[in-house]
Amino acid sequence: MSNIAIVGIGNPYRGDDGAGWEVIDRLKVDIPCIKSRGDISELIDLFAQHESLIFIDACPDLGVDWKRVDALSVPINQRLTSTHGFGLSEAIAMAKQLQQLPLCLILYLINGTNFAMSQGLTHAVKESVQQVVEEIERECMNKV
Amino acid sequence: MSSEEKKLNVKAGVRTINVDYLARVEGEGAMYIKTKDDRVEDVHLKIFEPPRFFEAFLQGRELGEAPDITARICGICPIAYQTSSINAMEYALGISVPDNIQIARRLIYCGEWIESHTLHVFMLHAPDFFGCADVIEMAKNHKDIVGKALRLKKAGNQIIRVMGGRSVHPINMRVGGFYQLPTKEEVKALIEPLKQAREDALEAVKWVSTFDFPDLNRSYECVSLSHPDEYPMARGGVAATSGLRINVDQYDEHFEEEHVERSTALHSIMKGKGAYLTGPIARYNLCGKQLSPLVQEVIKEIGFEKVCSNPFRSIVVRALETLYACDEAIRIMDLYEEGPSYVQAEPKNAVGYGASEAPRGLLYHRYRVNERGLIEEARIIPPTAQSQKCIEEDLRDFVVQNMKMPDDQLVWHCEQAIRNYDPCISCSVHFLKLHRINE
Repeated sequence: MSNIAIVGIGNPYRGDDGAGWEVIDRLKVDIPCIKSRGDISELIDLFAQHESLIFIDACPDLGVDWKRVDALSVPINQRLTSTHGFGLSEAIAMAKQLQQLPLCLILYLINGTNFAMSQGLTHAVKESVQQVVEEIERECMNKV
Repeated sequence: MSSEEKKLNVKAGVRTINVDYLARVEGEGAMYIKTKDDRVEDVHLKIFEPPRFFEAFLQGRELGEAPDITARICGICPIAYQTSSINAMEYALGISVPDNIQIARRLIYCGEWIESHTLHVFMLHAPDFFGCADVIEMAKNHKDIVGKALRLKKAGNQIIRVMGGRSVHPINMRVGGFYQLPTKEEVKALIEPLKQAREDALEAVKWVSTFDFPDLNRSYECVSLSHPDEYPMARGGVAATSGLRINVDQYDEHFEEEHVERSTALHSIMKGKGAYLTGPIARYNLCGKQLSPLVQEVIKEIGFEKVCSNPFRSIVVRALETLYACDEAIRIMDLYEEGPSYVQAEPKNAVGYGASEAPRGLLYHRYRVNERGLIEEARIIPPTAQSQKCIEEDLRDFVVQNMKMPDDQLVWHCEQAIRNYDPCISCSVHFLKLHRINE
């Protein structure tokens, strides 16, 4: 089991849904960084393979530009983007049932407004991405 | 689903079942059933997801782009879209591919069946048989089998990643073959995980075969691809229960689509016959003898019928096909050779016809291309569009036979009857009339 990894979830061809991958591209940390498209079996594998995970995902109607959520201490009530109804929130709920959650699971959720087939992030999401990058780098320095 | 979304009213002998938003299906659809006294007056599967215009924006694109553009119609069966479009383009260009490419195609197709069938069997369909709202609730009491399902799905993902470049939205298939074939070693590395997957699939078959299935027996006109050498997946002609045996280029002579007001997906019918069934039960009923010896043995062991006429038992057929896909993948991995990765041909004016067996049924493509290699016209007939009439007929028969069933059970089973088909509504919405007026 590896100690920690950072996972950006998204689809760069779905506008703001590319935020998770963009964060991964910009991060300068000495920790494995992974780009995922959010397949549920792959996510649960990641849970089982790591003690600590940081996920970055875009979601609509967040109410704030971005926020950090400790997924093991508060229920995830955001509507996260997903394929065929199975995404990060379902993977977390499933892993909980299967007792396969990591010891630490932090989510950075970024509020997106455009999830249509398109490339590039909206201006607000670009700004959030930079703030999330800085926040994760700070968090990683503290963890290391 | 809230009570506002799911309504059932009984008034003066009139009973309506109205489910405004179907759960555990891909895309946006609704169900409406009206009965009066002992008669069913209306059964509508309503598909209200907006049309996606893929056929329109294929016009003017290069023929080599069709596989990757059409693959985006569906995140769960992209290989089927790529294969059907490739088959059509190869027909148009007169390309015949060598055996090593046929094997590679069948292998990646096995990956898609494993991935898609596992998703449907365990995560979308099985919860129906336990009265659970979803797989997460079902996992409370079935941790072991759900864990194995995730491992099985991962094995399908691995095949697609190795053969297709990545597991979600693979990009390695092209007209004439593959952009790059994996090495023999890369393919052999899949064998061990597949052996485990085959064990998991075997357990899945035995598990689903013990479910309590609602009674419904239908006399289906089954339609699937058929190939003399193999259980149908990536190639073949079209066969039907009534004895029809045609090449794919004759499809339009025997099948047609019609628009109904309640649906953004066209309804398919077999000319002179009406509704027909496509998908796992159709393939099993028409071509079950071509399943591998292991699967035949399991069919005997669980006592499964040779011709399945109960749509609620489709989950067993899907599990059998998952077992077959694992078994077949292991078999053909041994035959895999690197060889040439593709065959090239010059564009010409032609019409191309292609089909393959998507996990949920026959997927037909037709293209008219020109001498510059551009697509002038595209036609895509996905399995869910072909199944709509059959789904409505299943619902009608089920309601007629279960008029006295308590309301909540009737609604539950009617939704389940739709999920029997693993419908992919997002794939099916292609109702489109494009009128261009030049003044």
